[in-house]
Amino acid sequence: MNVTASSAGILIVLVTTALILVFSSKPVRNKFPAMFRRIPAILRFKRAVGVAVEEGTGIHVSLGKSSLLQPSSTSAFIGLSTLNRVGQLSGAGDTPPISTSGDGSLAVMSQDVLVSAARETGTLQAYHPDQGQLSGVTPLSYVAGALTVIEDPSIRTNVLIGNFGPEAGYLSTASEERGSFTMAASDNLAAQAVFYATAGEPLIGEELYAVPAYLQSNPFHVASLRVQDILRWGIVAVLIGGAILKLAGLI
Amino acid sequence: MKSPIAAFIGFLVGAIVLAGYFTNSPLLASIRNPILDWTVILAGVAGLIAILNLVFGVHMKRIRDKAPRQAFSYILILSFVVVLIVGILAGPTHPVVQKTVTNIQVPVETSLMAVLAITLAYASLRFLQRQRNWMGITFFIATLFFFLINSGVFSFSADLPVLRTIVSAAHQLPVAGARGILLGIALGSLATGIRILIGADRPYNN
Amino acid sequence: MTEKICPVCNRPNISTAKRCWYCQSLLEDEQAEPGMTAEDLAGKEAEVTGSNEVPEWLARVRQRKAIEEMQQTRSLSPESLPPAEESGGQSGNQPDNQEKASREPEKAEASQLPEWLQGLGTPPPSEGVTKSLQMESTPEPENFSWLEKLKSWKARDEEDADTGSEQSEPPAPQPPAAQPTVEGSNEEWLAEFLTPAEESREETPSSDLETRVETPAMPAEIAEEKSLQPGSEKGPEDETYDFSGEEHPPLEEGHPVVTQFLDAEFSGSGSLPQPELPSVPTEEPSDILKEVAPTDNADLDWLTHYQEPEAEEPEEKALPSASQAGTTQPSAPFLGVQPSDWGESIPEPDIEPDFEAPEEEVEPAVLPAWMQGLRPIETKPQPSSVPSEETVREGPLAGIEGALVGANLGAAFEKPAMYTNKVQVTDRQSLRAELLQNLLSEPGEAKNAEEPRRPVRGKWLKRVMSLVMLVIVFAVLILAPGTSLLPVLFPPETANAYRLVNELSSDRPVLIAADFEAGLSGEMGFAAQSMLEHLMLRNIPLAVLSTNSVGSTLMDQMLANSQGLVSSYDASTRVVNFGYLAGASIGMQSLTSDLRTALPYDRNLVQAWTHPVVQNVYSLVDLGALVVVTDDADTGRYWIEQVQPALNGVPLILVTSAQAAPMLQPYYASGQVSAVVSGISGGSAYEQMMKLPGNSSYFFGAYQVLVLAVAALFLVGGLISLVKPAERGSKG
Repeated sequence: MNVTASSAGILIVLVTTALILVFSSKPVRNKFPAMFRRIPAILRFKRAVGVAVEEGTGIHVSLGKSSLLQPSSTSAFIGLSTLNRVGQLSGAGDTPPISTSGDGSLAVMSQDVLVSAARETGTLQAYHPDQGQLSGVTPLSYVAGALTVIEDPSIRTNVLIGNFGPEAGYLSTASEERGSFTMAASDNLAAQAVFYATAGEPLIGEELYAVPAYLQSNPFHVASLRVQDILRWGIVAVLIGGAILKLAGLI
Repeated sequence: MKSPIAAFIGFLVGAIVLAGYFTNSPLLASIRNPILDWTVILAGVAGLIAILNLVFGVHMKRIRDKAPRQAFSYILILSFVVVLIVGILAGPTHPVVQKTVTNIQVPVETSLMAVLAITLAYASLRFLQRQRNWMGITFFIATLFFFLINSGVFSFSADLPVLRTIVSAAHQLPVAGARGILLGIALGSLATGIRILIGADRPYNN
Repeated sequence: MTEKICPVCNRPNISTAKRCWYCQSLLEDEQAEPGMTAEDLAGKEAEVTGSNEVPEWLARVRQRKAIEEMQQTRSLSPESLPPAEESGGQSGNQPDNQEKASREPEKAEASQLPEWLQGLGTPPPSEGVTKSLQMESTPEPENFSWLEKLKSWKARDEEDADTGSEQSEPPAPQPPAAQPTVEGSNEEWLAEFLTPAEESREETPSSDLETRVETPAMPAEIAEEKSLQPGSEKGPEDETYDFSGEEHPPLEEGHPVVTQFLDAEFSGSGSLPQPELPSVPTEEPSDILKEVAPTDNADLDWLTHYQEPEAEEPEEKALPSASQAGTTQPSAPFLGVQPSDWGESIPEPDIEPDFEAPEEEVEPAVLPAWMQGLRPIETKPQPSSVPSEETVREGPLAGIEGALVGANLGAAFEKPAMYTNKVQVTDRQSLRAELLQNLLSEPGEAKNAEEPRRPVRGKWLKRVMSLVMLVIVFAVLILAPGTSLLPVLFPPETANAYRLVNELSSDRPVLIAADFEAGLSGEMGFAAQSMLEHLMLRNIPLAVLSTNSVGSTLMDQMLANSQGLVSSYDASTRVVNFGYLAGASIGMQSLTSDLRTALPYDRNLVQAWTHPVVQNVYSLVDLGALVVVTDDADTGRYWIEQVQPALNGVPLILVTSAQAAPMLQPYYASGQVSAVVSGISGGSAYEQMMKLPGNSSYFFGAYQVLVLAVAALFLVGGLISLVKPAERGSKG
């Protein structure tokens, strides 16, 4: 990596970090309160979790197949945050949440998250390691294993959030065919297209990364969303400026 | 309660790896490379633990509980044990292991992909019943359009300059859309990574 | 029936009564105690009643004054002073057996009284106090007649009272009668008993004693409050209560009060306490007294309740203060006390008086201050029952005098705990509240999630579709194999791949990264097969690795298939398989830092870099090209992001599935990727460029027809969906 790219990379990281810290600070939050646009899928998801708790049905969170060693692990972390929130929300329910994943390290992390949520909600005695299971080590075997969970009669809410391929269409289709609530989000474009066609509540684009902010209202989540918006506008400006300069023949 | 020591270690390791990505310092590399090696080993161990949990935890429990379709659990455990023993004794290059992959796993997964195509085609039939809005209709038209383009029916467009231009431009549309979405995803990944790096978002290790 | 007139309240009682039903004073026999001779009593009564010229009320006042004086004398009787046997002599004036016997029923009665009231009952001689007095300096008066001394002392007292007090110690609050001039050797003990106390009054805060004996009779906080109230010093008038004839309960030797009393007070001062201790102004109680107080049961109440007649609760202001009463009404215990709530707990006599007291004889409700303090706090009469002459200053009755004052409930209850407006919740509680808020703050349309969804029934349609698709594929393959609609112009990215392979040097190996899954190995085979054949045809050495567990095995299968078509290529000598590279993107980046360290062994665990194919390769820049075969756009992106910057001009060629191609096209457009071969169409185009028809071209026709068929199904299905009513929960 050349010096220019390295410098740009370091600058972007530092600026992003500083902006996140600034926007997560209380004075800035109070002075510039965040405005969320409506994402109906997330709102319906929260409602579905409440309904599942009321009905005593289970919630299945599928975390995808991303390894934590890959850059797509960020989507896996989003899935883990969502799982944590689901564990908190459904702590009062009769059926504990279940998570499936397609990577070993992600499965272990999901167990850790479920333990944390169970401890937080005082339901640690109801926790079982099978709640966070590795359903398969390849994408299709993972999907096949997760299908058995989706087809469990006690599961009425399915959340597919993480890194998926088009094979995740199995999961969303099976969930929809069972009449379960299905919210699906992925950082993979092919999976997004499949989810849009098959899932009841798909999230498109970077809406995946907005899920924690909408679910938890953590200052850092909200701040990161605002920073994303700022950087996005910056990129838009750079693209438009570059196009103009290109048309003008300056670059 | 989140451990501050773990958070600090996480931040330190992440900062070293990140700094090593931007610089070519030998000193930093001498620290970073062992860390990455440990990470890979830990990930492998975690994978092994998860597999053991899947086989001897989930499926053995299904057998004990006499869950429906427990026969598949028997098959899974048996297959796992056989492949594990052969793989350890003979090695991954042994013809038995090779044939296991090429004659069992490939056909099974390829068939699943074929069924996926049918499943998605079937789901697309009912697509507009669920997404009956302008976004859904746009999606419907775009899908239909690219079905036709990829089918090669516009091969004759090479003889028609206008149509060729339109088809060529249409080929660029998904690229442009994908680039925009990828930019958004990259920003999301960046923000998420920094959140995790500074310890602001750690759903695990509570 | 003969009646007994109470010498205290002058009310009639039945003949069998031993105590006055009204004031609980002893009647007749009981009154004839050694401390008060019948002569005294008779003389007083004769003195009072003999005067027919005075009005009745004045006679009554005089009578009571006489009785009070008599009771004062009793307070200095041997019952409160050393008994005869311990004082060194047994006097015939000591309480005899008859008296003791007469006290038995009193004790029985006292047992039915409230505990606090029992302390006022019939105490036996206070031996403890007596002993303490003897221990110091009290000479044992032998053969002394203490009763006669008392008589003389009392006479002196009366004399002083008549002539006016000539005391030389005005601050001394004790009554003039308490400043006797003790005459005779038999009375020296009394003189010594009294005089040093006055001296030590300055030195030793006798209020400690007072508090000590007072607190047990009331709640500690009340006693403390009383002790803190100013103006508790009494004037000489208050001393009329000092010896009111109530007998004090005994203090046994070793009693905590006595012990501490002796240790803390008398021993240090070297002087004996005087009986006038109660007259000492009240001061702050010491800590030691506070500790001792709860253990006592008003043993020395008789000493203390005179101290603070003014230290009453504010709500008792309506009642005549003890000092006021003392000046006009001699206060005998229970004199003129109206039955109150607390008094109701006292059992009534078995025999009801068969008459009612005359109206004019009813004394006004005067509750001595000492008794106010003795009452349990919960039984204090509320001031609402007493008319207040004060002007109401607030409320709806503001400005009206004499209005009935409402119950001061604030004084009857403890101060409530302080609660702040800010709810103090834990983090977990706030988290749960937040969760609940999230659940409840949904928009209306989110309620759709509640509606049960109907499971989709479409198995038959799905099976029909499957059958149709299979029929189409097989029909094309059977009826028109190899027939396809090929583009006139090849995709530029595919053409670049062909060109780059053609330009590769045969002495520089090409690294092939096989990162695809088994499920898509068929499509990847169509895309990569022709390129592999091209590489073999050019006899380019190959190095294979995979970042997934099955990639290298699948690549082995592809190479074997290609070698079958290119028999001249010796895979055993021209191909090195490094196997599985762990760590995904981390492993990819490790290739850029140290290639040989990242891949030390081949798949057979043999030293890889001794192989002739790669022995001259030390880093990625020594490669001829890097070909990434992947079905996942993310994996292709990782190779681009992690490895491409380290290639330094080495071509990066992507062989991808059709689904991954659109996401990787931008990298080709940016120049980060040198060439792209995507899917079966790309493979077919590559074959056409090579002019070697292969599997891709064979199946490409079936693929095209199938895509058209699916497009037709999609169109029909979409149109039907538009006509049919929307699903429940549809977004539109």
